[in-house]
Amino acid sequence: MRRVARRRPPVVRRSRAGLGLAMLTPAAILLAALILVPVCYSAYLALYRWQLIDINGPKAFAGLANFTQLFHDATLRDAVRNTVVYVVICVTVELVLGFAVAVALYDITKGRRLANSLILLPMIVTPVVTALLWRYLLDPQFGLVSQVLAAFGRPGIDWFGSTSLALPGLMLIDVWQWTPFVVLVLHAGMLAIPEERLEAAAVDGAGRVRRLRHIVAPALVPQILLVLLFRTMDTYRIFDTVYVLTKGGPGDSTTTLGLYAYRTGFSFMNMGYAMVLSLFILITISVISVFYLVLLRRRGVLRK
Amino acid sequence: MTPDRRQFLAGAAGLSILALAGCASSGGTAAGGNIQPSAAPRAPGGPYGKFTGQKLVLSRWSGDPWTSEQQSAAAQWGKDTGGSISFDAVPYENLRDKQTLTLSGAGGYDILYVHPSWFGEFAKGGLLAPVGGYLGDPSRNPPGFSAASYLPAPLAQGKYNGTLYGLPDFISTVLLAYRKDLLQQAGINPPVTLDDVLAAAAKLNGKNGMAGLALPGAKTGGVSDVVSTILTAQGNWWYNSVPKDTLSDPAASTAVQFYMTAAKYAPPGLLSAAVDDAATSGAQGKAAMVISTSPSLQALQDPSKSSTVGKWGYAPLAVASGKPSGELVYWLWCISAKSASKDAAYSFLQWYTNTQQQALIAVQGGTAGGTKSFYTDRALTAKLPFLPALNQALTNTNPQPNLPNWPQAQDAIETAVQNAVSGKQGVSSAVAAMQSAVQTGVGS
Repeated sequence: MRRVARRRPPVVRRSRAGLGLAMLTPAAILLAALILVPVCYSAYLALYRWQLIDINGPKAFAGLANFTQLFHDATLRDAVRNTVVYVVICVTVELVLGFAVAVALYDITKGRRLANSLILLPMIVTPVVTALLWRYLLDPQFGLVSQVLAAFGRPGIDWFGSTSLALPGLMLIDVWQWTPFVVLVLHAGMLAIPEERLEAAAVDGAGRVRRLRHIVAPALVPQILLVLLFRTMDTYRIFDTVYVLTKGGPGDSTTTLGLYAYRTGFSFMNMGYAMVLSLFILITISVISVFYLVLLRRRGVLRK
Repeated sequence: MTPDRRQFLAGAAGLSILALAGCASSGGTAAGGNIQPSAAPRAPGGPYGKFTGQKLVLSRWSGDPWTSEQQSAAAQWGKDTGGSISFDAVPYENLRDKQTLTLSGAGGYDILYVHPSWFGEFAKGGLLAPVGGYLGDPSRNPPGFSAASYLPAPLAQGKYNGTLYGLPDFISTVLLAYRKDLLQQAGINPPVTLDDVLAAAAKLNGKNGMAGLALPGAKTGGVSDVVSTILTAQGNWWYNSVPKDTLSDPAASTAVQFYMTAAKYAPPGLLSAAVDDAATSGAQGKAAMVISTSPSLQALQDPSKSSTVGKWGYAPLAVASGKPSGELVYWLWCISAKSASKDAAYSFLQWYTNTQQQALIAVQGGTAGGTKSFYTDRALTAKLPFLPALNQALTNTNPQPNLPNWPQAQDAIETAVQNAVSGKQGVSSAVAAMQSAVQTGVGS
């Protein structure tokens, strides 16, 4: 029997819209209070030259001086470069590796649950504990890796004391910890693909690679975009592992934006400029997020 | 009026007067209980005062053995005086902002352990209470105890604009520790100058899989301590009393050059090694010599951490034929300006910084006290093998910088040294970066 779509009368639609608005308002007010007010207050405080000790006292008005400092701050340039390299490499490697592992998981029939649980373990550990764990693993003198290398007559590798290896070392830890997240999301996406489509493609003679390329990968685009959004935001704000393992060194070779903003505010106590750096991080991450959200909308993952 | 009623009224009046007297003598501190700031100690050497029911909060960094030893001392103080002290111990990296935010807000702390790098800022901001009046009051101190009981140099660091705000302890400096057995086997005399250290390191490096010299290289303050010591040994320093930057090219170049050469003989991981890591290398038999702060060097003597106990000799750092030198590392015990229990807080400060209490922690912690009598206690000094070297070093010292902007300058100085060691910068460009950092530090 054909179902006839009935349009609701305009009065009913208007009253439902009003109800929706009324239900949304408290949450909107709460969000505004928790997000917009602090952001606006930070922007206001960025106009002053002040230290943490002046938090309740008078502050010297600096106009836009803290903002113009952004343009000739060499450490900020290093921090932006390190952060961008970190984001691009970590997200790319995690996506490729995560996709490969998710496919492997999809293919196995026995022990999938156990494999799933084991793969998720790194994600459960808090980042600070992860950092300490890797610190002891990679210590060039006493670490497990160095002991194994020593057994083969090879010297230990100075991961976090080398300007060229410290950032890759941090990336390695990020990939180890967060690839499971990619696996989890992509594997869930794969399980949602109707098996008939894959079977039909196989009957039509499509090989494994063609099925992955023409059926699995396109079906996973929404999940891939979500993963990209989350991992880009997370890696862009990286702080804890860097703080524990290198504190931005050697030199400034691992100074990231988050660490630099923290150091400026809470080590150098230059709160005005720290506010500017925080706003810089917020604005840039918002632009990146909007870019992904537009892509997600175009793909129909988010409602327009 | 019946005799009973008269006795009751007289008793009540007497109690009221006593209560008022108690309030007055405690300087307006929290009433309640038996508060007598000038009460004699319960036992000889004990803390002064009775502070029944007073609850104090102490802010310090978390690190053993110091925290646990201070907690024991606080418990003893409480038993003797009737008060109590609870601890708010946070990691060193977060201590400054925790103290700043707490003191700038409603207060909340009575006793503060303050690092020199933020002491000036706190004193200038009016967050600390003067302690000179307490120290000069004979009724609150043991007989003969006064400002003259402390070493003059560390005590002077507790002054801001001529007013005393802090009592010193945790006296330490940068020292050289060397393996006596290995030097003897190699026919090398104990190093005296930095050139001797580098020559010995070159000779011992690689023997038995051991590095020649371990030293701190991470940006955690240790690099700055070593460089500061080398500058002092050359008669130079970061800034003068104005303060105006005084870092000279040759002195800074010598320090950077020393680091670059020492890096060749250091264990792997120099640029990520803090003072404790440097000492661990020595303790585990991975380095023939160690340059580090004296508290970290205590690991060499600790059988639970060291496989090389008893094999170490200690010496201060010197440049060419110059005088042995050191950087005066210290902490200051202060009272919050907002504390309602200042009398009780001073009672703890006086008692905890005296020689007897400092001796309890010195052997375990590798630090020394701030009082003169600490250094004349023969039984104590016999247990501290590094003490003669520390004493020598302290004859020619500069204190750890205490300017409000110094943390930023220190970070830039350590970055410059790291860049020079890793080959990203030459000596002259590293020195220029250090000079620019010092200008930031002094605010010029």
